[in-house]
Amino acid sequence: MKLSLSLMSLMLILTIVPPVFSQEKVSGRIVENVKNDKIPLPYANVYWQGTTTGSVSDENGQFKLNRIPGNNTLIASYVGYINDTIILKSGQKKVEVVLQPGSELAEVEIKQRMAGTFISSIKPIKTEVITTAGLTKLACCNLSESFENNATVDVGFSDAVTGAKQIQMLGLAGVYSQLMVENIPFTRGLGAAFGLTYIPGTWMESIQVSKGSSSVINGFESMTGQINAEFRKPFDMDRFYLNLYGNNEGRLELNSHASHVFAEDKLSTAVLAHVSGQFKRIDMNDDGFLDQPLSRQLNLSNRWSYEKHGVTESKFGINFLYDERNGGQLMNLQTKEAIEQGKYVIDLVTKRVQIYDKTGFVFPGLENTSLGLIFSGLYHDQQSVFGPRDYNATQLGFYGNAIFQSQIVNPAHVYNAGVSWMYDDYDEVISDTSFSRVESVPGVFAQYTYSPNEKLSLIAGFRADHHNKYGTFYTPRFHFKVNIFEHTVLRGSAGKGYRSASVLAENTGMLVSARQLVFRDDFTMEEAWNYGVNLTQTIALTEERNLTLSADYYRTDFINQVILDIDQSFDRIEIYNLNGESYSNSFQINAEAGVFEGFDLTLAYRFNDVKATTAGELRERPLVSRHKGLMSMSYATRFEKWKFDLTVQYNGRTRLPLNMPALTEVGYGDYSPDYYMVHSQITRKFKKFDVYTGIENLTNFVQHDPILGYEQPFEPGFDAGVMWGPLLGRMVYAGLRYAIK
Amino acid sequence: MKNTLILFMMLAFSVSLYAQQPKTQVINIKVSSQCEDCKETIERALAFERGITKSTVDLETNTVEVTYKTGKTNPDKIRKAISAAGYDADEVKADPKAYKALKDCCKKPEDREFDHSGHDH
Repeated sequence: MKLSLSLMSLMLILTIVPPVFSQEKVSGRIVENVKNDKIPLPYANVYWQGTTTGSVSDENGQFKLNRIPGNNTLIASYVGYINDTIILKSGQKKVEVVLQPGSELAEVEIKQRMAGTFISSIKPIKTEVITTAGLTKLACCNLSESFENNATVDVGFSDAVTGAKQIQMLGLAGVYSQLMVENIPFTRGLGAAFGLTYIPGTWMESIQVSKGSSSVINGFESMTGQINAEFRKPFDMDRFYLNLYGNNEGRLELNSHASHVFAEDKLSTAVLAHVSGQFKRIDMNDDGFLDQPLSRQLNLSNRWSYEKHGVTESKFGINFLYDERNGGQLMNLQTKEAIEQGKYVIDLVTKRVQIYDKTGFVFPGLENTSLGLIFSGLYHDQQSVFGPRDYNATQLGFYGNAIFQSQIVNPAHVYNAGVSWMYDDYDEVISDTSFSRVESVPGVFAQYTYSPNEKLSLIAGFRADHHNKYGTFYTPRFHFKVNIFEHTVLRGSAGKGYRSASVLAENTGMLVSARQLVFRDDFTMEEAWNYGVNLTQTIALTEERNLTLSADYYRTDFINQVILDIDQSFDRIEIYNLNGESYSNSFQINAEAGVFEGFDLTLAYRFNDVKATTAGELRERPLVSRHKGLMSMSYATRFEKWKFDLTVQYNGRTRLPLNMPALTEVGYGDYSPDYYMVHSQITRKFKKFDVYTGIENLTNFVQHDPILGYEQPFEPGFDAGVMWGPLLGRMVYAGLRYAIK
Repeated sequence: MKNTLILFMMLAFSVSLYAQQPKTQVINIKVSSQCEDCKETIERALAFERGITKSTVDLETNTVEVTYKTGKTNPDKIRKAISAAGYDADEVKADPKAYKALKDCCKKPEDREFDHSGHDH
């Protein structure tokens, strides 16, 4: 390990060669046509397709750019205008780009990159983008598995029985970050527990991860950060796509999409389908419980896109999901028999329907002016049994957001203003106790963006919302971005976040235990400040390869928090409002480099210091690791004919809950052990299809005794919710991708 | 562990032995390439053809130098593959459908929509 690291750094040093002397340049102008006159567009972005090399036009629309060998495709973009792709002839040194006004609902999107992840240098909020290339590095299966080679987001099982996965950002539970699909909140409320598994990997085009406060436009909820998944777009996806996946533990998966573009590119549609299941009963640790539940999932989506050049753009669709899981003591039994014989069984059936519409209008003649309308309706129903507990819940939700954007005098001053409404009707019953409620939150917001040049951006946002139960609350948020030097970017953010907790739905792990739920308080709304700074430095190694270094620090300070206290006693969870301090400090450094042609290396280290006051004492949060390290290597031959990926993760120890004699009995001390995880994959591209095979958890490390007291699951002491490590051992998988363009 | 290593080395050795057997040939084919993008397109298309180990398009002379294994493919098949990618290859004309799908700058000057601006919508 040490040897390979020093070897890597040696290779890194060796590849830093002096800058190349003669660099070809392209210069040009970006304009728009107004009544046969060409009006220059200042501050428009231009960049080489598939790279981060780009520039911004000056006051006269002029720009200059170094050429990248082998890359002739320039992309020009400007807010409120349609992106233009220009292919230069070899030797061409001058270019004029005429942009057409049009709505650009989505932010500047950059696709088809070689790198699996990159840090956007354009956006004022530091955003890590996981691209299609990055997503295929981990062949399986859904959003919860897309972060294995990312140090920012941690993913782990929430308990040892249901297969539910939870993420962590800045060392805090995933519910404190906002998870969205195409900027529409996705996993709010009942979707929190299994929501990550509702987003198939092959449906996604990219994932954007940003730490810290996010824009007020998307709501008041994000505290630690934001994850936004973009699905494939009907107008530029493959006409047909098929993906088959299987692994040696009995998981099978089929993903298929088809798309069609109607007359003149104006209207297009796509159907995406996902069918998967866990069909084999596996109990590697001989505790009588299935290591992962038997499952079946059907997930369908129909998406539509409509565009009228320069007037309107609309995306709408419907998603349908059916998900079934059966786990517990089912090794040799059917679910029904097991229940009859008094075994511990979990049985979950989830049905979910979501409809959405995003429409943007531009106002021809009014520069930089647009109106965006976002609507989404949700029906989510979960019928479930967790051993002796029944948990049945239905959520009817509505989300609406109207965003107006315009400029004051010139594009250096842009403002947004709008109104939003969130409405959720929960019908939630656990073992005859009802938690049913209606939450209605109308809100107004405004945001001002000052970007006098490409070197500086300031954003100030403010929103006021009114919750029918918790009253009115205010959310201020600030961001800045300064390019200190040409390749050095400093960003900072500060802001508040709020959320109302759905304690049961968000913590299914605690339902898989014999712990009693003791509700001490009537909950208040969770409230926190988040502050952060980050620095990104790009160093050109050669003309085509870069080294990107970044460091960031974020602090989250809770004012109110719903505390789930598992330290008091092994036989109960006490749930109450925070009384005292609760915070998280998170520090991370990253180095990403194109070491030599086709070879990319990522090294990352993250330190978390997360503490909360429970029963009057400030303690380290249980089951949160302080240290994490990551090394990810990727090598591709020319045209990516062969691709090799290897990821090594180091996960530090975590504090275990107090007052649990069962933990001591199976040999645990105060802390869980630390461990390494290794994943690898090989992909071979053929003319019409790709095949891939890989191994997850190569070293076969698993958490021992994940289910405490499994001999008597109905007695105090039974607990499957103390998870700190991997549940599943070494797993071999293989798959196939086939696409018709 | 030791056994696996030996097995792996034997495997690697046998693969390298096998790889030496088929004879390779080099052939130059005249192609209707226009720009840098065409070079990329043709070389990419040939990279995934059976039996072709290397191909390089020269944009000055508009020829492609192809290295191939004689046992696995032949010049006719290579020309057909280039045609299927949308380009003329010696006397074999480009597949019309593939040609139509090419980017504007890759088409012959008389077929281009925007000859001077080089726009591609």
